[in-house]
Amino acid sequence: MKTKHTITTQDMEQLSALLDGELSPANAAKLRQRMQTDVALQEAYTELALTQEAMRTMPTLKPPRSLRIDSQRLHQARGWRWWLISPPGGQLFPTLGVAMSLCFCLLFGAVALQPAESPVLKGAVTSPAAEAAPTDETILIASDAVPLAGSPWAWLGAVAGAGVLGGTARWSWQIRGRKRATKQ
Amino acid sequence: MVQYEDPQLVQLVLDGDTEAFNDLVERHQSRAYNLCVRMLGDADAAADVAQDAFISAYKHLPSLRGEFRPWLMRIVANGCRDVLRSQKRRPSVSLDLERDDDDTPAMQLADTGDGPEAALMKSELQKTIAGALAEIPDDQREVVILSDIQGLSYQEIADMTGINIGTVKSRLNRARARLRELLVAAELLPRVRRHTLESNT
Repeated sequence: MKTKHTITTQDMEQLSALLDGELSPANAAKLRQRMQTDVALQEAYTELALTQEAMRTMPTLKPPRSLRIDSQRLHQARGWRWWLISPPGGQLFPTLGVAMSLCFCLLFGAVALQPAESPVLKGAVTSPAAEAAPTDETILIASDAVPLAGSPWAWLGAVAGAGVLGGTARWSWQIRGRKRATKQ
Repeated sequence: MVQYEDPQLVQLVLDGDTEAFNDLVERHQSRAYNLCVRMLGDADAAADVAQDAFISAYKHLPSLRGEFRPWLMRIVANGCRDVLRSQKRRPSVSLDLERDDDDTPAMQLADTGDGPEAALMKSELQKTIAGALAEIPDDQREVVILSDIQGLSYQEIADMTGINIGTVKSRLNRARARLRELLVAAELLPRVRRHTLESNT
């Protein structure tokens, strides 16, 4: 016997999902079974299907003008991300970056490896004259010469330098690879 | 002429080929424009928003991860939402789709190659649907357009709009229920049925 029940929001949601084929097979079978006996569900489903059909009658419209963008406008639209993948000066910029970060890395590495009490750094103190009569000035030079020698900060600087070096080298390599692929 | 897929075109653009970006524009402009025109109901504003979305896509192209189309459509949808928000702040701009000016989408629909009577019926039908679409809230309209006009799945809509599937379902349901009410009130559903039957025969 067919009956007509009130349709809940959940029913409508399920009907909508059934229409889109987004209901699980078990739930779809259950809903179809209910639809066989519930006139209101059947009507709602038919009306939903027709509403969807009405939406589908809407044709694809052509834009009133071409949406193509001239290259000058595109170049103006380039943001900082573009600068990263295509830096000014082409390959020159990342190459300089590699060289600078290598220097940074070597400098901090050398300082880090230098013992804090190194006689080289305290050259003024080790000279016989200075040993004989150490002045305030030589002591000042010795203690201020390389204050970071052997310290964790110098190691940190060296590691950071190595990181920047690796990053810049990778960046440079990526740009080279992309340019090579374009040429091919 | 070689037909490149989207990822190849994106790579060419990243390599500095701006013309390749216009190939992407040509390929996706119809879908982008149609989303805008259905969301905004104004042909010129829709073209502007779609073009701005393409420019924005170009600007952020180096940060693209994944597929181009859903990413682009997300930018387009965001652009539409921004325009709708600014229209709400300045309510003098209307979303009326039933103006009888030649640029309205409804008028562009008439030329479909059908007979005069069928074309008129179809045009009226589409005009009413466009009017009904303008009646529903923006968030529901967006979901129903993406689902029923653009044919996207729930998952695609969720990815594109940044909402979860449950929200997609409930917005779609509310949109369809409201559209159904409006079309029933306009006694349009029997005509849709007739139109469907005629199209199938």
